[in-house]
Amino acid sequence: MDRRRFLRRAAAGLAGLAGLGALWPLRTGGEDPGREGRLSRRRARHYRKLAG
Amino acid sequence: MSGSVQCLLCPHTCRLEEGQRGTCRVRMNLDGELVSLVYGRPVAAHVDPVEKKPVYHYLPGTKTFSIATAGCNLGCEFCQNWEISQAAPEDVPPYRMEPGEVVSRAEETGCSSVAYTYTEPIVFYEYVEDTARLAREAGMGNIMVTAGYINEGPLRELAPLIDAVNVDLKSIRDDYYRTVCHGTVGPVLNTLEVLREMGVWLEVTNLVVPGLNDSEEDLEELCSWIADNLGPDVPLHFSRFFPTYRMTDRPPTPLQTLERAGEIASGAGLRYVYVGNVVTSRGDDTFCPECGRAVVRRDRFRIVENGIEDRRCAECGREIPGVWQ
Repeated sequence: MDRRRFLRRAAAGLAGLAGLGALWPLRTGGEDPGREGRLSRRRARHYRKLAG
Repeated sequence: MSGSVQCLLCPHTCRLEEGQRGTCRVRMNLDGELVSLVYGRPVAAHVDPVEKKPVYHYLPGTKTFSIATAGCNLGCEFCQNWEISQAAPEDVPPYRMEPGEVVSRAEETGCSSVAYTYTEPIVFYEYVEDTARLAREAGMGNIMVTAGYINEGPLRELAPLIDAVNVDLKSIRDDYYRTVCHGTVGPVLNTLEVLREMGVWLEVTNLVVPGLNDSEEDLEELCSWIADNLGPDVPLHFSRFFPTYRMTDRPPTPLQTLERAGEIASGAGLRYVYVGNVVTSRGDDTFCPECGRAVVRRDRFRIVENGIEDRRCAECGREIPGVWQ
């Protein structure tokens, strides 16, 4: 990777991190509820129950 | 006693025993019911220019509030977002954002639309549906960026809420889908035809991968299929491949290949052909097919000039298809 491309990618990465930072307080209300707590369990559509 | 279920959302039609998840990793049989594990749990939320999707003929120069959850129902070996698309949802800390909050954030940040993108919105179908309905009520548009691997019934139910779609048509060949993407091409072609028939604004992207789908024959067949089945006015974006994920054995797509792809598309009769993921002198501009004027000039994701007035080329009056206001 040449220097110019490396710098361009680094800048894009920093911009992405800045974007994430802007919304970071929305993540899980501050505390990580743990792996299971990260999941929703919302009833889905478009499925059928199988007999047997 | 709970039983097994079959998901009917996408062509995989996964049969799931209690506790099992689908190919997408985000839909699970819980107590004999199918549940979404990612509803209201986006792992990415950004304000993007609509051109970044890419969608070039839909409200150019506007911002779109872009969200994605974990998961995907394909497994493309070149996926640029594999860290989230190929992850189990509990492995990526999510935001908590119910549909109403997505729309509020979109309004607060001056966005004209909400985009369901980055991973595969089909796998977070219910979240898309509820958010899109609220966005529509708030006067905003909805954009889907998708691989189009969905069954026709669910697609027809969702499409009326969606204003613009970019479908990633990865190849015209079924063996390519089977070996590189872990899917099949038939359902994707059907999705394209259904969206066209239903009048949803449609654009197509093709990632050109060296040595895999970049032959003249492949590109000619793909472009001819689009021209014959979707019409010459559907914009086609050729995107440059960069080595990543499980495909690090080949170089980025040469610029000459992308230029040749553009020539082939034009030769097939397609009127709006773009080259993305690369800086080119004119590959991002929209040209009037009548007078040749660059009616929309872009510099990467920025609109430099918009010469469309009342859906027409300001120079010669030719109608340019799209949603411009």
